[in-house]
Order: sequence, then C-alpha cells, then structure tokens
Amino acid sequence: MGAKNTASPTAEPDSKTALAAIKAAAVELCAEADTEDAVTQLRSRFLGKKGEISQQLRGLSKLKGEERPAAGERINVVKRVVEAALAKAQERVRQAKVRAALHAGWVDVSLPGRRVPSGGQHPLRIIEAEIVSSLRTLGFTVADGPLIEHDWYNFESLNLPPDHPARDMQDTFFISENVVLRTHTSNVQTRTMVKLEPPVRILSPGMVFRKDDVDPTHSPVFHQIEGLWIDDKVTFADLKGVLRKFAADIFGPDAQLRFRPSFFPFTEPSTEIDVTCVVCEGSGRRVHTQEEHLNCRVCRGTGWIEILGAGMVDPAVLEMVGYDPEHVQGFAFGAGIERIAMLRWGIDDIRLFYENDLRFVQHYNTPII
Amino acid sequence: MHVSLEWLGDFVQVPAATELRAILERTGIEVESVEDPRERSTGVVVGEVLECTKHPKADKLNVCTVGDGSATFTVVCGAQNVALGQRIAFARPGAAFFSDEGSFKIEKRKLRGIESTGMIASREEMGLEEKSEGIWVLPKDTPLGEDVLDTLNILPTFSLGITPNRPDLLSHMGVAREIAAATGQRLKTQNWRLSEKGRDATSMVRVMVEEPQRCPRYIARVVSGLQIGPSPDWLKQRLAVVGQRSLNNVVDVTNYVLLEMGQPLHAFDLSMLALDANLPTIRVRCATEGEVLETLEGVERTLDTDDLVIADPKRALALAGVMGGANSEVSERTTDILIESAYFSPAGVRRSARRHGLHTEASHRFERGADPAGPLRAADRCAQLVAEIAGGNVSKSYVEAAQGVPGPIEVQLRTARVPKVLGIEVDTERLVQLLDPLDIKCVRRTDETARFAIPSFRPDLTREIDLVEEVARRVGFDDIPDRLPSGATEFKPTPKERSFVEMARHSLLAAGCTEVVTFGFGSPGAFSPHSARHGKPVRLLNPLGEAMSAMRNTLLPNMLQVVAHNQRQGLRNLRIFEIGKVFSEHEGVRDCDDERDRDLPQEAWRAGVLLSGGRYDGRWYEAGARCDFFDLRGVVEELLEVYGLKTGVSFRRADIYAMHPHACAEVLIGDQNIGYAAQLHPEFIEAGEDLEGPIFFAEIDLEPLGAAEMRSVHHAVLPRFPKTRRDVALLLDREVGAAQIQAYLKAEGGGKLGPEVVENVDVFDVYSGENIPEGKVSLAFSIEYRAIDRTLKDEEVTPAFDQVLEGLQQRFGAEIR
Repeated sequence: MGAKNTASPTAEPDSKTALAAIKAAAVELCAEADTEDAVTQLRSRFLGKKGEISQQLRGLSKLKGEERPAAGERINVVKRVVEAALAKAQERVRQAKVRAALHAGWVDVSLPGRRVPSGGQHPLRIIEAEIVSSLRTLGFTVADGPLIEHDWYNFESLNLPPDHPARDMQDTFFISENVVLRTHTSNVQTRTMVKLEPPVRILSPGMVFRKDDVDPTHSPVFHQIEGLWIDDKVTFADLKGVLRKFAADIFGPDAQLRFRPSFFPFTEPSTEIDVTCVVCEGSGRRVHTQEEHLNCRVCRGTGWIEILGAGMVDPAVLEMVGYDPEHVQGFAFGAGIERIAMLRWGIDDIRLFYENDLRFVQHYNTPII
Repeated sequence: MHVSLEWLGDFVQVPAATELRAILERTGIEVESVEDPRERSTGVVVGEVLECTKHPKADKLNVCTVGDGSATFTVVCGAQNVALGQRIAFARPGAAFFSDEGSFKIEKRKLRGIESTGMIASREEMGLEEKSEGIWVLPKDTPLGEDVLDTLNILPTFSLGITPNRPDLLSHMGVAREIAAATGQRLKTQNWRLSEKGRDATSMVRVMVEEPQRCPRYIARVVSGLQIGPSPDWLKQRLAVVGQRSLNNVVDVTNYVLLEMGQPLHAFDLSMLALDANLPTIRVRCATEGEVLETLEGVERTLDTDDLVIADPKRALALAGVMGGANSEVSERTTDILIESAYFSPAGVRRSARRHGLHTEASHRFERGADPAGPLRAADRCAQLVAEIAGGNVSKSYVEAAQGVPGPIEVQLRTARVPKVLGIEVDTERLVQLLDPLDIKCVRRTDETARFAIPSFRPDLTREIDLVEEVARRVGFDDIPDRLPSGATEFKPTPKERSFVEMARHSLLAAGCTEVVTFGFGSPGAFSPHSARHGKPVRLLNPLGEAMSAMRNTLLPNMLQVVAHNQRQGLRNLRIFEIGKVFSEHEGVRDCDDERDRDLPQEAWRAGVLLSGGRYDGRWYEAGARCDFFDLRGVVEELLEVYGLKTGVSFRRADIYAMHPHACAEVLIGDQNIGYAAQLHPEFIEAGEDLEGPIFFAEIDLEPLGAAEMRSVHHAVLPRFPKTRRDVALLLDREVGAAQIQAYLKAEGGGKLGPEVVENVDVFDVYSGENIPEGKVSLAFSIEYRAIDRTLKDEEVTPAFDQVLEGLQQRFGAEIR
C-alpha cells in the first residue's frame, strides 16, 4: 500500500508495516492454536532462530546507527506481545489437556467399590474368642486335649466311677469299652492337672459329644468352654467374682447373676448360674408383644436363664490327679458355647450353627477393632 | 419328679407357688416346670345335676338341668357317668379353658336342637389328669356355687429336677423336709396308726436272703383277707396329678407310699409263692444261668447271673429293686399279699436296670441310694393303707432279714475349712445352727471342729466337703460375697499346642475365607474311600444312626454338605474353610507315656479350604472370573507362610482319590507330606448329591506346621545398590513344570558370580494355545540380579545370563523364544 508507494532508502517504513503484520498474525494465530504442536510451531515461526522476529532483528544491522535503538525497541515490543500470546496459548492448551485428562478419568462414583474379600468367623468362634479374651485378662491360658478320650479322663478321674448314676446325666457315645467321645471338655482339666503342678489356670474350649437326637435345642455335637483355677487359696467367693466378670463381658454390665446350688460329680459345692433373661429383660413376661400377660417363651416366666455350671473342684478329683486337697484347691466352670451364642443373639435353632448357611455365618461378623 | 403342692401340705405349711419356687431353687432343687390348673380354666363352679334325661334326638347325649345355688341352666352332656343328684364342676357361659392348642370359651350353643348353656367339665379338661373317662364327680358335700379349684384347694404341681446325689428328695416327704428346713418349720406329725390282728407274720412266711451284700435289709409284712378293687377317688386323684395311672387299690397304695416316703415297695400275691418247710418262702438270690423271668409289663427276660432276684423256692418272682414278675402279680382274685420293703445296694440295681434297659421308679431310687432305715416305716404305712382301703387284716409283726445294713455315720467338720473353701467367716456355733434344721445333728464340738451325725436318708454326706456344701446351701449361694482374686496375676502366652491352630485361622480369614463348623463324625460310606490317604475311620459302637457312625478322617465330606446346602440356596461363590480334628485308627502299638493313651485312636488338627464359583463375589469388576487351582494354591501358600514356611515347600503332582488326575498336588515341606491341594474330580462331583462344580479343595495337617521351627527374625540391611533384570521366554514340554526352571534359574542364574546375586526369579507369563505345539507351553521368567556390595555391570551379568540360557536348552530342551 502506501508503504510501497512511499518507498524510502531506509527499511524503517517497511519494517513498521512488517512488524504490525507479524504482531497481528501472531496474536491471531496464537488465539487459534489448540494443540501443543501448534504452539510449538508458532513459537519457532515467530521466535525461532530463523523466525520472523529474529529476521526483523537481523534487519536492524541495515539501519543507521542512530535509528537502531528506536527500531530495536519497536521490535522488542512486538516480541514481547508475541511471547505473551504464545504463553497464553500454551497455558490454554495445557489447561485443555488437563481437562481432557480429567474427563477421561470420569467414574461412576455410585458403583460398588472393589474389595479384597474379608473372611468371616463362625459365630461359635466369635463367642469362644470373646470368652477367651475376657478371661485371659485374669491370666487364663488355653489348653487342648483329645476329643476321643479314655474313660478314665472323661469320667473316672472326674469322680464318676463306673455304675455311678450321675453318668446318666451325659449320654455317651462309645468307641470301645474304655474309649468314649468326650462328653465335656473337662478331660482337658484332668489331663492338665496330671501333667502340671499347681498353680493351674486354663481354659479348654472345644467340640463335645452327647447322644442326643437333633432338634432345635439339642445337637449330638456341640461346643463347650471350661475354666479351671487351682491354687492354694482360691475360694467359692473368687469363683463368683470371676464368673461375674465373665457375664459382664459377655452379656453386658447390666446382666444380673443368680447362683443356685446344684450337683456335678467333679465339684463340691456345685452351682448353676443363671443370668437375667435377655429376651424379657428379667420380667418373665412376653414384653413388647400383644401377649404380655403370658410367660416369656425363653425363660418360661422365671426371668432367669441358666448359662453356666461351676463349683469348687471336688477333693476326690484333686486326689485322683495327684494333688493334695489339704493344700491346693480351686474352682472349675463350664458353659455351652452354642447356648451363649443363642441367648446373646436370639438364635432359636441350634441346627443353624451346623448347617453353615453362609448368610447366617457371615451375619454375626462385626469389624474387628 | 412331680410333686403336688396339695400333697406337700400333709407335711408342711406350703408357701404360695412363686415363693415356694424361689425357696426350692435357692436350696438347689430345680423347678423344671409348674403345672397350674388355674392357668387351664377360669370360672368353673360347683354345680348340682337337678334333672337328667336322654336327649330326644341323640342316644348318647343327656339333657341336664344344672343348678349352681342361685340359677339353673340347661346343659347337653355327652358323658355316660352323669347322673341325677351329682355335684359336678360346672362351666357357666363365660367360663374358659386353656390348653397348649389354644383357648375355648363357654357360650350358649345348640346341640341337636336343644340350647345348651354351659358345660359339665372333666378332670382332663381342667388339666388335672392326662385322660378322663367321663365328667368329674365331686364329693356330695362340696358347697354349691363356689369356685371348684378354690373350694377343693386344688394347687399347682411342680416338676422338679432332682440331682442324682439327692435320692432323699424323690418323695413328697423328702421335699417337705427341705421346705421345712428352709422356712424354719417342723414337719407335721403323722397321725395314722397301724393296727395288727391275728397270726404272727413270722409264722406265715419265711425270708432267706442269700446275698446280704446286695440286699442288706428285707422286710415282709402280710395282709390277708383283702379285696382287690378300684382305688377311692382321693387316692386316684393324688396319683393322677403327679402323673401316675391308677391300677387297683393295692398297687396304687404301694405307688402312693413310694411317692410319699420314697421307699419302693412291692406286693406279691401270697398264694402264688411256693412253699418251703410248709411256709411260703422268699429267697433273695442271684439268678441262675439262663433263668427266665417275665416282668410285669409282659416281657420275657433271660437273666444274668449278676442279676439279683426275689424268688420263691421254685422260681424267680421279681428282678430285685427293678420290677416285679408276672407270675406273682396282684390280680383281681388276690386276697392275701406279702408286702416287700427292702434296701438293695445301689450298684447292683443299676447294673440290672441297665442290662435290661428298665428304668423304673424303684430302680431310680435304689440306684441312687434309698434310706436304709426306711423300709420298716414304709411297710407299716403301706399295710395300714391297704387294710384301710382294701380291707383285710395286717398280721402281727413282720419278717426281717438284715445283715450289714449301712449304719449311721458321723462326719467331722473343721471350722476353718469353711472360710478356706467358701470365703466366708463363721464360727463353730454358727455351723451347728445352720446344719441342725437339716437333721444333721452335732454330737461333739470344740472351737476348731465339730462332729455331726448324718441322717440315714442322706447317702450323699460322707465327707467334710459334703458338709461344707450343706453350709453353703444354708447360707445361700447368693449371700456368699464375690470378689476377684487379688495379688499378682501371672500372664502366660497361649501354649503352642493351641496357638498354631489360631495362626491358621487368622491366615485363612485374611485370605478371605469364611469359617464353617461341621460335625466331627459322619457317614462311614463318605469317609472310608479316603482311607488309603487318611487312615481307617474310627467307628462308634452306639451311633445315632449309620449317617453319624464314623469319626471323620477327612474334612471333605462334611464340607461338601455345606457346599450342597449353600448351592441349593443359590449361594455359589464359596470361599470357605474349616479347622478341626480328624481321627483315624491307630496302626500298630502306640508308644505313650500314659498307658491309657494307648487305647486312643490318632487325632490331629487339620485345615480344609474349599473354593468354588466366582473368584470373589462375582462383582462387576471381576468380569466373570472364576476361581481356579491357583486361587486355592495361593491360599495354601499364604497359610504356610504364616508359619515361616516360604522355602522348602513344594507342590508335587499326585494321584488322590476323588481328585482331578491332572489338577492335584501334594504339599510337602522338604520330604514330609502335609496335605494336598486339588480340583475335585468332575465324576466325583457328579456322583455327589446336589453338587455343582468345579470345586477346589485343599487339606493341610496343622501339627507339622506348628512343629516347624519358627525363625527368629533379625533386622536385615536394605540393599543399597541397584538391581539388574533379565527376561527370557522359553518353549518347554509342559511336564517340565515351572518350579523346576525357577529353581534352576535361582541356582545357576548367577553363573560365575554365584547364586547369591540372583535375588529373585519370577514367572511373569504363561501361555499355551495358538502357535504353541500341543504338549508344550511358553513360560516367561524374569531374573533380578543384585550384589550387596556394588552395582553389577552389564558385562558381568550378560555372560552369566547367557550361560544359564544355554543350560536351560541343554538340560530341559527349552527353546528360547
């Protein structure tokens, strides 16, 4: 245009026009650039060694010395504008890229999470573990013994001689004349005492067998946990204290206990221990139902449920295992694990424990803290 | 045992039912249930039958007019024994009956055209007996209009759980004695008197006890000229409320006295006894070889020479202390009886009762220990009641054979023993006071000790500790303070014999398995085929049935039942384990410290792991992945690692019953076989009921794991120099197995640098299928090299790696891909 017409011996007017064109082009192209490559190309086109701005700078050498600073300054102004436009473009492209990457990371947060499977303890083991951990704080340790047992350990050493009517209390499976399936875990007590000198403080959880037909409250196979504490001056009062702690840990601090005299061949005095009925809260009535005037189905109106058998170890048992009952004494107790689980959770059929429906088994698992 | 509160009233003032229950339970008598007639009916009053005619339209029905003293009612009654003038239990409209099936309210209703307003009740309907024949006819003098239960003083009956040590509580008098002691009463005096007439019994019968140890005391009384017939209502009714059937007056009296005093009695028809020296003679002897006796319930029994029998000179008449025989039973024609009242020693009665599977009221008491001083008074009471009810004369005196009767005993109680055992403070005076109401009388005492005479009806009191227990009962268990043991508590770790089981449990739970618990026994048919591997199953002598007659020698069959149950419920993604004992017969002689253990079978802790279905729960991200052999093997590897077993463990292809021939491995620690991991044979699954495959199962013995020496862990310095990795893919015969190559690379991969520089060898790819010839597999391994003291240079590693590659080709015919 005019520039051409007004051709001059200096490059100045030309340069001014060219600079304006460069600036306009750079700004426009930078605004359009939408990829990193495009920005890189623009950078090299305008700012590269052979780029348009560089050429302009090289043109300065053709100018007269006094014109150079002003021309140089003009070029530098444009250069800064181009740099700014490129930086802006670069930032825009980067942001677009980040956005795209984020977009690609979209998830449906409502989908279920990916889980490492966690196993589930059987409800009987949960109760067993709770009892063990309750009593471990009093120094009890867990001991083990055979399930198929010699008559001597299962009966005779426990003050149950042959032809004793108390044997009727436990219907027994026989393997041979002298070998039985243990009817209680008390065999572990006598085995431990035969082996160790007092003091003895053990728990013996495990499977036991009685010849009962299967029904909602009976099973020929069930689990017991027993405890034994032998020392020089352990009394019935200690027995009561220990079992009160046991009940508080398993049934909660509000559980009331009642100790009734009873009979077991291996303890004397013997006691059966009741806890306030968990279903009717001790009222004996069908509370919170239409049938409130009727007796509670679980405790049959008494307000109490038997949970433990216990007593002071009979001197005859101590003698049988080689202890001197004049100098050592102690107590033993036992509970049915199924029974405690049933009371604790309101389970009404013992067969569920052995059916092992996984929905049942997993239901009682709570996170371990 | 059933006790009637009304009957107890003969001996003590009976507290109200709820109070009595609490008293009994505090003293150690368990009340199993309460049968209260007031919970079975309401509003039943005494009525009188004023008119009684046949129903015009129904032969079997009567139309009665019943008066209750203020109004009259028309009642249609179906009972045959209704009659004019009777006092009856009348349920007016509004009265109600309750039973286990529900309640029944009396309303007006038409019966064959006649409106009936009320009902005449039976004792059955009122919950007073099992089965009634007709309506309840009340005594003539029962006041009209009164509540039947109140006016006749009908009280509840208790069902008591009497522990085997307390035979003295197996009677109304015995329970009354305990109530009296607990409530500070004295027993009421009994005012019946026996009147004897005519000849002396000693001139009428003879008693010869040939086994005085088995029968220390035998008393015979004779009643003659009596008439057998039905019992009077009061007797029938007392027996009925405690669940006893009425037979005839004489038998009912023997049962009545048994329930009253606890002494079993038997009445023989005297005319059936054979003579010796011209007198009917009782011989108490052991049965002879092959001797036969038909017992009362009509069963012919071949006796054992250990059975004690009551016999006459010719034959056995009764199984002593257990049951009478049919040959000398009291019948309608009986006029003279011999009443037996004896003390039989407990163990012998128990043996006979068990041998013949007979558990009777008599054997129940004798085998627990009857009162050796009880027979005479019971014989007197029985004779008096028989004479009163059935007529006849009680002969003078009685015949007694007594030798070695357990005498009265005394037991010493050291006062200090009571606080030592019970943890309560007492002095001698207090002990004497506590025991006195139980008829345990102090005969001698000092400050430190007291000597007590034990009543003959308490066979359970023979030792000092027995008296300590009586003291505790009298104090009340709830009144003994409770305390926690004081002093230092020693904590011990769980012994290893138990902890190794817990370690397995934790590992398997962490591996995502859910625990199941199954019976320790099951069907021999399921266990026996596994005998080759697991030993012969132990059989039960007296199982509950074939399906529960063998102890498990493997966990598999019972766990498969769990699988079947869950699969039936639609639960197919199974990841379960069981830890339990398995049993097998012992082969050869067992070497034990305790000779009793020699008789025991083998018993061992084992863990079973079973996987089936989707890898985990079949969630969206699993893309349908199914579990396979390697899921199972991974669980097993983790289990072994818990015991520090990482190296030295190997899985060796094996052939095991019920397992897939090509997906089954034995697990070894060194050379020791500790179990197996396998896929179940598809045909085995098919043969099982309701099973869906594939199923993967591993069974690991835990004892060897527990025995594995636990490594003590020490700090290891972390490597400071970088590692170098080399990969190689090999084409191999698949039978070579990855483990061999891995071991070879580990041992030889370092070449001249030595095996120490081979830090790790891993399989990172396994491929067969397209482009891989049949029977071959492509396995890719990585070897990580690292030296502890420098950075390994490529120039060092490359020759070593090249060398091992060459070795692979030569040794295993591997083709490098």
